[in-house]
Amino acid sequence: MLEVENLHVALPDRGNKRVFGRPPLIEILKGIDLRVSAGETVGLVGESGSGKSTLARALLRLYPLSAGSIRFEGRDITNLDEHELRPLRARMQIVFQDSQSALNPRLTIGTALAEPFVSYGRASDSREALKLAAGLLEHVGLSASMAARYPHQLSGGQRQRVGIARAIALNPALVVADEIVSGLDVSVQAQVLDLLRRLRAETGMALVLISHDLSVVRALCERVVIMQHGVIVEAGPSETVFNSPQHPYTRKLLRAIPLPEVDPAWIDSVDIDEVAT
Amino acid sequence: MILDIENLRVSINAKGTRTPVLRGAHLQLEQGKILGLVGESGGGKTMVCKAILGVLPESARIESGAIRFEGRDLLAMPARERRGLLGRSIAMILQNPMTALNPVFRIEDQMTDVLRLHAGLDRAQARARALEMLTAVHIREPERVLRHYPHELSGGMCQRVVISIAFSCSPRLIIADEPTTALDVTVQHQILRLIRELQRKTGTSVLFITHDLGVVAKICDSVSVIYAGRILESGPVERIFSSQHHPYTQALLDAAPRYDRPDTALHPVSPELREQLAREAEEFDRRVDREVAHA
Repeated sequence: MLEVENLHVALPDRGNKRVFGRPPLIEILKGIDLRVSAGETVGLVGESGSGKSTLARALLRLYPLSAGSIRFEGRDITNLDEHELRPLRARMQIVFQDSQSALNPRLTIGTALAEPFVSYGRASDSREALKLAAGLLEHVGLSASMAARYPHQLSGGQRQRVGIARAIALNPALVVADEIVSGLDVSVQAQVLDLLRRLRAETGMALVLISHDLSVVRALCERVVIMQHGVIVEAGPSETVFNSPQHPYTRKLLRAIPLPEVDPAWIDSVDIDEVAT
Repeated sequence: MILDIENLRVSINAKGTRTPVLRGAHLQLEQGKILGLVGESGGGKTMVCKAILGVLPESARIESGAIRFEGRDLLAMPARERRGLLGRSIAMILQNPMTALNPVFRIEDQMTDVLRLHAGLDRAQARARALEMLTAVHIREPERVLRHYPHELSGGMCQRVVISIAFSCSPRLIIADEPTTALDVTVQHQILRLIRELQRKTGTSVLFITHDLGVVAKICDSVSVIYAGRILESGPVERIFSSQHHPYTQALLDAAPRYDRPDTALHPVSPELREQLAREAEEFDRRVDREVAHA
């Protein structure tokens, strides 16, 4: 359903601003190959600076590509302009990490959720759209009365559910979830992960789950892709990658996860010296 | 016992209503050990930390209890004397290293200010000590780092600097509030080892606040679990991470995914357990009320 070949993305280096002219470009993604089948859940793992969030946005053509190609549902979308992309946008959606800034603070939850129905002509009038929005809220385990609230009146977990509801509103074929459970309490995180599992089963959507937490990825994904410095260092079925990681970086990531078991040797099993930055 | 919190009750009083945030909390940290304080957000972890440091919000009121540091009650101490302990005897490591450091000063100024103020060193001595501390946190080019501003360093590097500042005046107690939550997992591993190493070397005691039971298992000697302002259980990590623990601790363990157990279902903390804990908390409140009235 999604095929990415040799994807390169370069973005302006904001740490290197010029007084005149544009800042120089810095290459973030250096040749990414990725395939996602319909209904599949793929985990994208890496540390900050690995390029995973850039890849998430580039997949949806939210960033300009400097090389490579993206095919979505059999169609080459690499060079489509915004106008041509618009109908496809309903089929590919994203949920952002920061649910607070992802929602317009001036719109009620109901209005925000009704918007896609109106702008994509799925509802004949705003009343119908609001009704659909209420149904959507219940679908993600919130009460329909939440529609009258504003984003700041919701907890982090509730807002993240709203983000998911907005993403699935138009029955997309692909949802990209960028670190959507980091920063949530474990109990709330369990609820959100459970919701994703349920929605995936109900809707058959494909899910690209971006996370720095390998345990979260293991809980949800059939396939996992490990990124470092803008390249994929290891990819494969979750079971294989987790049971016999091949790349030293994958092994390092796994070893670094503190499992809730007392193990005095764990803490000394890391190279403490500063890594070159 | 370096830190002994007894029956601490704190409430927030806003708009005429009293909301208890700490309901007779007990906490004991032994000399030279790391005590983990673990719980969900809103459970009162940060309130404990603020109460120790004396930086509770204005709307908060300490209703009863004692916070004994090396046997002396901080709450009964003159404000001036209490303030004198901070930075020198009691130091702090915050969650976000980028905001813990002042963005407009070089690392050198931020490190040496602390040493000149609290340890009475002169400029040259302070600089020498700063270099020594940066080396102790395994920074390869301490001279270079001293010249930098915080934004020029990575999050992990900033946290190393913050840790070196915290340890630089040889404090007897360090309060670390989620010091690795904002960091990548491999950097977290390094920072945890760093804190453990310095703590062992200096014999400093650490109150380690976190929401992550995995981190607790790896770095702490003992742990207290807090929920709704009440300590539900305390004990050595060996016991808490064996089979004998509070149902809430079990619920937290059941909620977190583990990469080594992919087929285990995840369960959020059940509403029934939360209700039960809320009921117990109110009952506990009333009992403490009676005790206070009796006394």
